[in-house]
Amino acid sequence: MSDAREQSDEELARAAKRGDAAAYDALARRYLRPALAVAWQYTRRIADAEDVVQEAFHRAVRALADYDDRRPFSAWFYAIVRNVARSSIGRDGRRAALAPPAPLDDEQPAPATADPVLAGDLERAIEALPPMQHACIRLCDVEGFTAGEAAEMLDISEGTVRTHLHRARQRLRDAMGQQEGMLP
Amino acid sequence: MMAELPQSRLPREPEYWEALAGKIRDDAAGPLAAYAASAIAAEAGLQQEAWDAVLARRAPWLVAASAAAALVLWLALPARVPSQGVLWLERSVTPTEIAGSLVGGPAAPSVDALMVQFPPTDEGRR
Repeated sequence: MSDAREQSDEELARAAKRGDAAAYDALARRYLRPALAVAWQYTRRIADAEDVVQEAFHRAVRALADYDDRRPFSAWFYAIVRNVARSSIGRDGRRAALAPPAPLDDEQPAPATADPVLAGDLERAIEALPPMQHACIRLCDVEGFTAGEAAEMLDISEGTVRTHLHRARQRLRDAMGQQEGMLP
Repeated sequence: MMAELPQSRLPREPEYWEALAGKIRDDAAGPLAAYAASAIAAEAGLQQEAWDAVLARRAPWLVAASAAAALVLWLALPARVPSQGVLWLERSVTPTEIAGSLVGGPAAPSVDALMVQFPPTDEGRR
């Protein structure tokens, strides 16, 4: 068997459908961080996002037999993550980032900034962004995913992600008083 | 003064990710075992199907070969000698007419005449 790192998502999923636990483990590790990033956009709490991710994988492995491996695994899996996250939010009565933004919570790390006051302002400015702009700036500029990856995660086109990013950065520049070098 | 983008909210500790991956792996053990079992069963079914498929694929050739063998066998058999009854039919004479010619004739038929009219057959010898 070839190295799992060299195999595509679809090849790993195909192997997992035949009961290959190593292939499934490789696939799960590949999607853990992106899934948690997507879930966090909805829950805004790591503990809740972790529950969402676990539930999403729980559902995914049970639905794997129905997965058509000629289609991208990422789109199929992120759809499960988003559905679980929406259900979780609805069940708990919380508000999602992809609905109106929620306030920061205590478990979030303090931003690494040269100026804590400015950092707090920037954090608040990001939180005040419209939901999709917020999600795009978090996923791309904070978590480091590409526009293409964020597009798959959010089920929108890459062009739409770039548009949201452009508008979000513009808003943040406006909010922070046009400080050079602040944003990519 | 410059502000940097906030840090990632996602955990950075490898232990955290390892533990989460472990939970997901454990949760998947049951379904994956079921998939493995059904894959083995499906493979066994495919082998059975393959045997049937080979037979089905060769069926026209098998039928043609059987027909050819039957034809060769039929051609190789010795020519069948017609029986007396067939002779009667072939010559369009009835047994009564034959008997009449023998009994009612002016003289008894010679052996040669009988041989011409009734050539010896295997059946006749029996």
